[in-house]
Amino acid sequence: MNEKVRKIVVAGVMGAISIFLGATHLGFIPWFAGAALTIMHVPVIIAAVLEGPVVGAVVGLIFGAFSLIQGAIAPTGPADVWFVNPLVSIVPRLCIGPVAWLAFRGSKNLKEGQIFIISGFVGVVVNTLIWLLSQKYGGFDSDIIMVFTVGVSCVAAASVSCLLLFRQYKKNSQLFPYAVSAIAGSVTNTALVLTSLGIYKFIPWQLIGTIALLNGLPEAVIAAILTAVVVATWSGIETSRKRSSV
Amino acid sequence: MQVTAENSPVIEVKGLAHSYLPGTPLETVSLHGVDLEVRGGETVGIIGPSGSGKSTLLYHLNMLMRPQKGDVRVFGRSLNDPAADAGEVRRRVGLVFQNPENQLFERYAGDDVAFGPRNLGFSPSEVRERVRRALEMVGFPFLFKDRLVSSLSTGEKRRVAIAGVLAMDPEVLVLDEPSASLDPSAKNDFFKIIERWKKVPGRAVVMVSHSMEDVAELSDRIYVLVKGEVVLTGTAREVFSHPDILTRHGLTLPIPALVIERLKAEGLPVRSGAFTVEEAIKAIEEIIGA
Amino acid sequence: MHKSPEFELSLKLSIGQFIPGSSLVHRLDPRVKIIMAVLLILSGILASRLAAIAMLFITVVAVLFSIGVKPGLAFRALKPVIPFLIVLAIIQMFAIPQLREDAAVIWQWRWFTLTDKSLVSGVLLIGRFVVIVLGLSLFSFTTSTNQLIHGVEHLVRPLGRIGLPAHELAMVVHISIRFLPILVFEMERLMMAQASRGADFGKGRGLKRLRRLFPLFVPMFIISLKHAHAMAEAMESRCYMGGKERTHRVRLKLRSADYKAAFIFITVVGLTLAVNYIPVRAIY
Repeated sequence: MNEKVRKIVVAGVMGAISIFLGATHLGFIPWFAGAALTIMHVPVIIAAVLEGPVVGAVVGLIFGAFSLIQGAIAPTGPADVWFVNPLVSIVPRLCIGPVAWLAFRGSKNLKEGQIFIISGFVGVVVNTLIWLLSQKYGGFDSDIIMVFTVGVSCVAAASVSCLLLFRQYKKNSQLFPYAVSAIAGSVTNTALVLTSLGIYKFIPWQLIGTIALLNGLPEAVIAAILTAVVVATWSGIETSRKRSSV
Repeated sequence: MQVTAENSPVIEVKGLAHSYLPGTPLETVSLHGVDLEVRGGETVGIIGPSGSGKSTLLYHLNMLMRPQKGDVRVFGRSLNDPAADAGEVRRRVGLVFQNPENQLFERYAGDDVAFGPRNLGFSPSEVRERVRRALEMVGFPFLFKDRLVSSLSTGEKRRVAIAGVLAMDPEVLVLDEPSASLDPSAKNDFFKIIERWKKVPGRAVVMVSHSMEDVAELSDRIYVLVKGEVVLTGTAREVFSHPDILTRHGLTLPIPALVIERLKAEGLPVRSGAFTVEEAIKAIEEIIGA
Repeated sequence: MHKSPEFELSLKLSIGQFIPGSSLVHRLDPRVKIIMAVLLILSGILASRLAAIAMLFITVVAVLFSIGVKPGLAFRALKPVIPFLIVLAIIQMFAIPQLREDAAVIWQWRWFTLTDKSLVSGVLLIGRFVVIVLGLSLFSFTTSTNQLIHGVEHLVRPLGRIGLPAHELAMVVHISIRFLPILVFEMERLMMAQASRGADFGKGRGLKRLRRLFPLFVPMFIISLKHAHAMAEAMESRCYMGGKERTHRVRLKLRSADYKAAFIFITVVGLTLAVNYIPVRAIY
């Protein structure tokens, strides 16, 4: 009972944070040329690694539902128009939590080299799936699909290499699984949302590959950093720098 | 460091008015023309029921809010002046929020205390010195900087948060409900810290509190704020000799004063006008002849 | 002269607006309204013929005028998106090749071909979006947060009988909605507290900007998790044990007005879908 009540409340609270970040636009971190990196999926990831895949899925549901409602009631751009469709806004977000949790559990016992190989493998599997889907729904030239799949695998592989970079930098294996889970969750968000946009032909596939890389990769990195910092502060995990920097 | 002469006003508020959501159907007036003065070397207390606008008033003192109407002068400079520098004002007027332990975000205590000085652009060695002094002022040794914030008790966290403000070396310390959710001994320690800080000439303290006793103990002058207006002001003694005005607005006298009044009502020849514990004890001792 | 607007977060946080009133729609059972909203969205997505979307549009606008709220409010929400809608519609009309197969060409200039199919699809795109937005605005004007929460909770209950954690889910949504104002309040205070220490949240891009925002984001999660744990303890100490055998204080009852409204609406939706799917070539 104790666990259950806590899970319910944490889910509610993380959902509120996601809504808050979206509604006040604090969750939009400006990037280049007017584009922004979003962090509304980070509460989903944190909920998943702290309380499990079901809680992660629930918070993902809240995130998705809110982006749908916001798109409908207070639209400010083309993305809002697309998000009114639940297959674009809700279904991909349901998957963020469970994937992040899986990545979290999975990476706890692995070494970096293995992560690299596995993510490459996951990248290929995801690419194949997307290619098959596109054959069914797209009917476009397959070279264009290949561009997208290349984009996704780049995101997967490159983001893991970034991870390796800060693994070196931080030298702390406790935070590593959190960073990996965040990258997995963020990439899931990017990949699935973009895929659904592609299936509905809202964006041409060529563009999707570019967006996945230019937007998806940095988004994954900042999601990882934010997740790691929050979890470290909340759980009192010490980092490699075992003292104040003063 | 600029030393303000004793008894010259460091903060002057004249006719300050403020309303939330002005011009909309949901407009609420929070301040109705408030006049207030803080002089170097004194402690000013602000009391009033909930919703009286106390916090809104405080936010104007360090330029978190700019006056919609009226004027706020800090160290002689008007905050309405477009050239007024918010950074400078916020350094000289340090605002400690309610439950300040909630604002800690760094993993190690020292880093959080260093946040303010680093934002001010001090060199690493200056930052180090400020952090050391600030930690010592709140009763921690310098080594405390390496403690994990998540391992601290609420009282310790609060002291770290206050150190974070003290590290910016303010000349006026503004405290919003400083003793909220503190047990009596923690409260005492806290007030000792404030008193110690105030010993440097020219420094002033502004304190908003619900606790009549705390305000009675520490304030030189008091402002009673009700529904955005100052209904009573004067020295502590002057203010507490108007219990009728206080009760009319839902406020009471400090407990020691209430005890004395009660004793008087029972017919004892005890002198009134005592409103701190010490004074009440003295008044009672007088009639006991101890 | 004006206060710093960046601290007034509560202003930005208006998700739809409940406007009190006493129209028929206001007084409908929230469950009925929720189901109608969902059906509206579904039929909006499914509609592939102009006549169908037109029917939905007329229905929504008619109801909008009947609730005693200035209809202009709902249309105002659409204003910022109109340019995007037009661009997207144009892309639909000109850039999708399937719409050019076995279709009658209406207009042609150089390599821009407009067929009847593509024109229909462009208009559909706009129509679909407008119908859904107006419908949801209509919903938010006539349903208060409380009603919404009760409605969702009731609707979701039967799912509990087939093993889905329905009550718990409703509870989660309930907590989210109730926690939001607390969060806003804490965050406003937090922004001001950190600004008082010299924090500047507006500078920088990308990673640098994120680092500047740590004094906001980290406490945001920490404070929320703390609140969550305290809330959980409070709930537990009042013997809350999750959903199964809970009884409810507020019981929603369907009245005749609800049945009538539901009947009318379902008829409309049925007609719309019929118009959408019956194999008569003349209908666009």
